Amino acid sequence: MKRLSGFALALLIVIPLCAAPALAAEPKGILKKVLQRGVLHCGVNGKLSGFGFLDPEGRMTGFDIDICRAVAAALFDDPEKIRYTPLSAPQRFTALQSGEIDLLSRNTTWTISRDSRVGLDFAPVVFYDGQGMMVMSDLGVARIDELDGATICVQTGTTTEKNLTDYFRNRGLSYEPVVTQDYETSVNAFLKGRCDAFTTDRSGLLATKVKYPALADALILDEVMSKEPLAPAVVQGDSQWHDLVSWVIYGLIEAEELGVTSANVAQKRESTDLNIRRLLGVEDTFGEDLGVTNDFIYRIIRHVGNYGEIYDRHLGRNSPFNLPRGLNDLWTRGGLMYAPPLR
Amino acid sequence: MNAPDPPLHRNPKFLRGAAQAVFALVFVYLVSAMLHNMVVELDKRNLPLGFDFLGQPAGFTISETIIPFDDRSAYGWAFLAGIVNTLQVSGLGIVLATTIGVIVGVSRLSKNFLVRTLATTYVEILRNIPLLVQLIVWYTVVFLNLPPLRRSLSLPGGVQINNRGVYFPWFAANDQTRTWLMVCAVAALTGAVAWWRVERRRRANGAIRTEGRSWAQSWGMAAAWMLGSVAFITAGWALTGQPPFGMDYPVLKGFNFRGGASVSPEFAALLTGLTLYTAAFIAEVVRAGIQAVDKGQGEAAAALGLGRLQSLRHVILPQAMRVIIPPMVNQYLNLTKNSSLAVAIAFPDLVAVGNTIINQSGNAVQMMVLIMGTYLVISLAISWLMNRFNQRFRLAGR
Ligand SMILES: N[C@@H](CCC(=O)N[C@@H](CS)C(=O)NCC(=O)O)C(=O)O
Repeated sequence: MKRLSGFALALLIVIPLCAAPALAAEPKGILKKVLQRGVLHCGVNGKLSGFGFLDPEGRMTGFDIDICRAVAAALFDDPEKIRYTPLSAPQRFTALQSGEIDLLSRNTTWTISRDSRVGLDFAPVVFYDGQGMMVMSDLGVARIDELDGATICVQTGTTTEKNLTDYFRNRGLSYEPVVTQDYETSVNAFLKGRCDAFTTDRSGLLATKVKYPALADALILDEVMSKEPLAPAVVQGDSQWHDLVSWVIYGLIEAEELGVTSANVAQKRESTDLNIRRLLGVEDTFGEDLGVTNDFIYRIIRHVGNYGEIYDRHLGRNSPFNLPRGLNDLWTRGGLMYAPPLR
Repeated sequence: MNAPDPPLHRNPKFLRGAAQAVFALVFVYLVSAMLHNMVVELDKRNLPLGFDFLGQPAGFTISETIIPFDDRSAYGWAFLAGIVNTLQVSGLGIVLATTIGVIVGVSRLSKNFLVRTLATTYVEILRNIPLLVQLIVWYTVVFLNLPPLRRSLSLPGGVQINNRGVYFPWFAANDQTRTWLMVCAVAALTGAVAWWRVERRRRANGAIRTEGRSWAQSWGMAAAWMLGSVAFITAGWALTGQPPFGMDYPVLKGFNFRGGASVSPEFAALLTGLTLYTAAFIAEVVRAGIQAVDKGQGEAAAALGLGRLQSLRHVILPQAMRVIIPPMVNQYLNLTKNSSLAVAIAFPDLVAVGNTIINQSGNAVQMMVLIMGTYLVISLAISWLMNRFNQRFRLAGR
């Protein structure tokens, strides 16, 4: 009995001590926490070819993965210092809110509700996309209007499921949804003929088509059903961290615009062009003002390359998708990629 | 004589009280610390903590619901649709698992080698493979691999089987239906009243409720009632020249079968998986219960000339029930909670719908509270019902 109460007494003393830090929940800021920890916690897709998936050697690769790598390069001069958390669509925001991940880079559409109610802050758009519809070619359907009454496979927790409802409702069409929690179940159901059509972001449709040989003659219909600006996200209310992630992405875009690549970045440091000197941190102190080192963009380009290189590597001409740049080209070439001035 | 009171630090009464007080304090402190932490963190992220969002339109669709639902319905209504789906699959699962479980459990003790071995194999296989794996196999390997829509399997009687579901003819109301329903209701009511009066008279006459007699009687009465109603309906049909209801047959129209009723592969897979898995555990509970009944009971029944089934029905099972019911409650609770694995196979149970609401509305904390609360209520309700059943059994059995 005496021992027991001694134990209880010990608990009484120890527990508040443990709980106190949790209570105070020091508003130290994510940037400091990540730097101290030495590892970036990045939430990614894990199954979507081109964006985030395991390559044959078991490494995470893809367009969204390189965004994580760029941030890690900026912080640690080492793009490998990342712990990846593969997340399904419905899991991703909770993971961010609970602090399980520092950064969400997972084909996530920027919407007003996610920016407000769901409690996220979005970094600049890294990929402009739109929702599409895929059918098997033997269904004999060429337009979405012809899908009245069809069964459609869709993933929950996405903008996709809401756009689908709106799109059909606005046109007075009906459909039967098969709503899955994860992407593979959805694709599998479509492959087996449980659904007549499969819908998601058009980039996702293309990635799926390339990944599954059985979809070789599937048809991606022409209509673009929505705007899907995909952007990395951080938790709402930490502007220092949000700023840093944003400027990592602007740095990628600006580097492409200024012709700075992973191949020539060391040379470019010697450049006399003031724009390039500021970009690479030879001049001025933007990096330190953001809470990292002045050469943070230099580090990013050296390890990961500029925006165009990342695009070409995973989605563009050096990838199986060979996706044209389109809206994702630089503004100087008629696209939407545009970084504010680094000065 | 009274020993002097021990000093406080050795007084067991005091120490026990103190330990409990300390424990309670710590507990209260921890809970309030957690709540406080949550409120602070939510506030920091500017996230609301109310339940107002439940009234907002959901904006998403749910694959299948029993209560009417579309994308303009509210989040709260969507969650309710999920709850009803959970109740449906758990309720059916409990009934089916009990039936199969009792049969398998009794078979495990059979004198017949084949029956016994089959039952044992069933239990050992089903019990030792994780339910999640079984569900995925049922869904992707079995139900999704049924013939595709255009090569649907047509069974006699208008039943269609394909990998979008099992479609079967179903009753459809016609202008006669309402009258007929009313007639039937009146008939049922009269029947019930008559039954009750007969029972009361029998009791009053001092009839001893031997189970055998009331068993045979119930069957007799049920059969009579059935025959009566069939005759009644046929007569009415012949007189009015109209059937009491129409039949609606599933036909392929456009992309899908329309008409009749149907069961989706997701629901079928979940129900099959839950039922067969839980039945294996129930079988073990039943077997243990029967074995717990003293051997002499069975021998005595045999000596009285009761057959094996009779002795099971009248002697063994009633006694075994006392051992069986409490662990059975556990199995029912497990089945209900396991139904949340529905998320893996696209069936919209309350967790699946709850997840969607969390994601689309951003109200994670509120929805988690609602989900947990719902399971708590369902579980308590099942326990309460089974407790009442258990008490009844004890009284009737002794
Ligand atoms: N961009 C949309 C959809 C994103 C999404 O989750 N797409 C699916 C289909 S491409 C996906 O990536 N699923 C992968 C998974 O959940 O494993 C959104 O942000 O809601």
